[in-house]
Amino acid sequence: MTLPPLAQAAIAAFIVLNAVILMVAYVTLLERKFAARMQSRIGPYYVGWPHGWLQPIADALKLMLKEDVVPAAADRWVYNLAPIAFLVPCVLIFATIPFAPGLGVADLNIGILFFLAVSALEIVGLFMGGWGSNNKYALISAMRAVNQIISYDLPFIFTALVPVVLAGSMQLSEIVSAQTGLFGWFVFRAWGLGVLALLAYLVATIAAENRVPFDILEAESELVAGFRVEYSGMKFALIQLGEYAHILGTSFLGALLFLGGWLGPGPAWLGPIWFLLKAIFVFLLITWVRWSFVRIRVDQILAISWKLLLPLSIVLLMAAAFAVAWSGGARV
Amino acid sequence: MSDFMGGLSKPPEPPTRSEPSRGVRGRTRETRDGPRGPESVTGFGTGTQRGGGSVAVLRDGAKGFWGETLQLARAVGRTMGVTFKNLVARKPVTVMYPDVRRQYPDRFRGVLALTYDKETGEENCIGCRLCEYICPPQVIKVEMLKAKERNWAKHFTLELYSCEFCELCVQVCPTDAIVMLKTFELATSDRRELLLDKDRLHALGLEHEHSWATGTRLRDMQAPPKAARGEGHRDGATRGEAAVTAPAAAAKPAGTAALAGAGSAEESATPAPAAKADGPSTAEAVKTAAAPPAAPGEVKTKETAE
Amino acid sequence: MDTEARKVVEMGWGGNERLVMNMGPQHPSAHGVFRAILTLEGETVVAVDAVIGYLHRCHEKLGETLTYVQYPTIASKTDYVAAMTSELAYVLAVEHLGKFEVPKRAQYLRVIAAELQRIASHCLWLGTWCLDIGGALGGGATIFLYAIREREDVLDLFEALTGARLLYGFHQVGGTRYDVPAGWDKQVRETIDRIERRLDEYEAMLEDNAFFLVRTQGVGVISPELAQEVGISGPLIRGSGIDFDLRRWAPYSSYEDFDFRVPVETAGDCYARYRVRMVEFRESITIVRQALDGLPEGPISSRPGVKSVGQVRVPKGEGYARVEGARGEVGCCIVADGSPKPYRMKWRGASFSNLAILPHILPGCKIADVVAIMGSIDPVFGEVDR
Ligand code: SF4
Ligand code: SF4
Repeated sequence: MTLPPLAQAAIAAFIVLNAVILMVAYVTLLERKFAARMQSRIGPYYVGWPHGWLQPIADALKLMLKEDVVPAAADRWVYNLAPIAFLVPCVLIFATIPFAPGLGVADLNIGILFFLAVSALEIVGLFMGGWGSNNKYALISAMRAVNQIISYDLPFIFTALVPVVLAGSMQLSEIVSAQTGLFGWFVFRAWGLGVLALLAYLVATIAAENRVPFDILEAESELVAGFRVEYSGMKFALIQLGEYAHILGTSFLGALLFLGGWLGPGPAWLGPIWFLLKAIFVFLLITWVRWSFVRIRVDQILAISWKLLLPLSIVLLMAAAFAVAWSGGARV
Repeated sequence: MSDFMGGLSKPPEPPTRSEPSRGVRGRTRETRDGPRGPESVTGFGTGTQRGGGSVAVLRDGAKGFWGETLQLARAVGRTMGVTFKNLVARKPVTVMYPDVRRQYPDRFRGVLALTYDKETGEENCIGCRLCEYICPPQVIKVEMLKAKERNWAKHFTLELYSCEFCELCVQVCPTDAIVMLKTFELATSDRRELLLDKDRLHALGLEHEHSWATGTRLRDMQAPPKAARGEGHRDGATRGEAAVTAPAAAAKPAGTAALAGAGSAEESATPAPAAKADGPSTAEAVKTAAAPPAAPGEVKTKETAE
Repeated sequence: MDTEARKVVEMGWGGNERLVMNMGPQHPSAHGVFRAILTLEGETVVAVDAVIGYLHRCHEKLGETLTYVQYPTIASKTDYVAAMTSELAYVLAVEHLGKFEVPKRAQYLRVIAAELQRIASHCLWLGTWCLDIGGALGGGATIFLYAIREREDVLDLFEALTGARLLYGFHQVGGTRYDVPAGWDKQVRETIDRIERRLDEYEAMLEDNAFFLVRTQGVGVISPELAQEVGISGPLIRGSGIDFDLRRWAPYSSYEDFDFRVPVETAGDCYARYRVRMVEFRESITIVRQALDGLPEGPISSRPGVKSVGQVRVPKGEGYARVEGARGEVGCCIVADGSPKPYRMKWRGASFSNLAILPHILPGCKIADVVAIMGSIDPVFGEVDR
């Protein structure tokens, strides 16, 4: 029995969406346990004894049951719409990610372009939230968000394009299949360019996700909670969900671009598991950085982007292009 | 809004530039270098901003772009190395509190309780009200019940919710009647539960482990040098420090007498027999303690005591 | 000479719309309840106004209603982060007035307690400061928890010594209330050894860390002149190049017996204050070691143990005692009228005086610097508001 293409896509989307939400929930648990161990703590424990297996569920339930407060002075439409405007692009990025050959919602031939374009859209939701809350902290945070995310989307895009140049395709599954072979992953290839690109990609990701040390949007010691200071209950949950979905999405993309996606030893059905493990590895790297560094100031963040990261990523991209041209299209 | 430190929130004024002479504080753009001096501004420094210097201000100053980058990489490595070390090499220090409790030290200052005499099983408290007088937040209220052999506390209430756990009441008690317990769990949904009466205090004393401190022990620990004890406040012959008791004795308050029922001279008596020397009508009673209390309803009997 | 402090510090108008933002009284980095009213131009602070007093508990009045026996247990509540300090200042003032001497052993015990307290207080400072600049959801929280882990170890020591973890009531007029329990000195040595090793880790995490350096170097610079005129003390003034430490210049409680360095940094910025405190950590550790080695035998109090509320009386007079607390000079002034209670009691809280520097150094900073500077001043609002 074959379903019409639209229905197929809908079912795939439904499955992926729910899988993403579940993954996000448990990724938060993973981060909490990881950070806790780093800090000589235990972390969630009693909810879902032992080791807090039910903690994400309990958190979700709690957030759903909480009172939803809308500040009297808020711009209601903008305020209420913001979490959705924030969440949609963050979840939409999963649409193009293939989890194994042919396993995904849509393996577009311009997949990475779609990914980058959509992921840059989250800023709209951020700004709406910051503006609509009619709160000074939120407003300052929204202004910072625009500054920061635009500054970091550029190096993010440039570093993500390095594998594209190396693979010669914008289709994500093509990029993966260009990484076959022993030490075929892009992180090992192109005479060290790959690993540099991965590092730059990680830095740009951390900043674009506004995580410590670049979390000036949230900056709870300065701006309490930044753009989401007025959100509570389910709206807060949506924002949180979007944030983690975005991080997870970029982790998947990083694993896909630099770490060979689903490639790995063993039979083909292990592919998605390899992919998941690699994505979690990237996620843990980001988390590790997050829980090790202190936050830096807004002007310094911009300086790092424009003075270091952007030039570096452009140089990397050009070097990759040069390498490809030098070898006359052969593998580098 | 208070005008703290003199009118700092004036309305905006037309543009002025602060004079550079103030620059040692590095407040103005002209003097952004500040007292730290022009550090390396290669790399990705933020030279145009006030303060902050550049990322390159790693201790040995200018190293050029590559030197800085290398140093940055090393710094990242070391920072993340510390967190990694804690991640893999150190056990969490968390005590899983309700399931596991840490070992409380002997001197733990926790919930207060009243005690029974070990041998006779009678209440130790003689209602002397010393603890009531000493308590800084005044949370103890005692009423004395005079009797022939010894005195009793008729009522004894302790508002534990205002107690600051200073242990002064324990320290002054002449009969070691009030002690602290090795427990601190006071959480309750009803504040009145923390208004402890005599029965409750006695029951608590049976329920939980007592701390080390009692009045006798505390006073013993703080006792001045032996040479100076008991013989008036002569200069101590053996220790230089003993001489210091002389001014202390000079400042001895006279008001003590009214409270302790004894002359202030008794204060310098050896602490161990303090219980005996303290109240003329009380201390012997503790030892003999044969007579039944005059108000039996309020006093625990021997059986409940042990 | 006092020109520097009188200057009204206000930035020239840069041409942007100004925004008045309240930081506090309830704010994650308010370190208590402190309200700073910032006038912003974009991200830049152009003026600051401050409101304090949210934590006022009539402490000085309390001191006048409680006797010399009772108050030391409550004195610790002024600066609850370094509770030993204010107890010590109070009893020193009373001892000065009453000319009570203190046995050598008690003096050494007081030094041990004071220095351990400095370690504990600096641990908390390091943690909360990193939390301020580093974020509760990031590396700052990691350092915070490490520092708290170490602070808890010190508090364990205090708990073994006095039975309490926060408000000790360790001092009494004429000596101390508690003698060391068996095995305590071994425990102390182990703990300070461990803390000394862990300090290297913090420094590895912070001083090599470029992000930390850019946040602290050149931020919140206090010039030596300003520092003297405003009257700040403690690590702040030593970070501004002025060698002022009461333990050295007006030794009390046998500090002259110990060999220690007083760290002085000249830069006057947050980083200098950080360096001063990090060195103080180590110096405190060496002082504790020396005091433990040289702890004399003998009584711990020149007076008999407290047995009644009016036991201590001092003659009429006025006395001031000051000690070098973790945050600076903590002074206690007592006017006695011959009764068991002071006629008037006045605290000089180090945090209160240190906080007065804020309006001089905040204008011109970014919002993010405000929290870094606040944290480097290390105010405890129990001591500010009293
Ligand atoms: S511990 Fe202190 S506050 Fe509590 S009842 Fe005893 S004397 Fe009063
Ligand atoms: S001091 Fe001791 S004996 Fe006197 S009333 Fe208090 S508990 Fe009872």
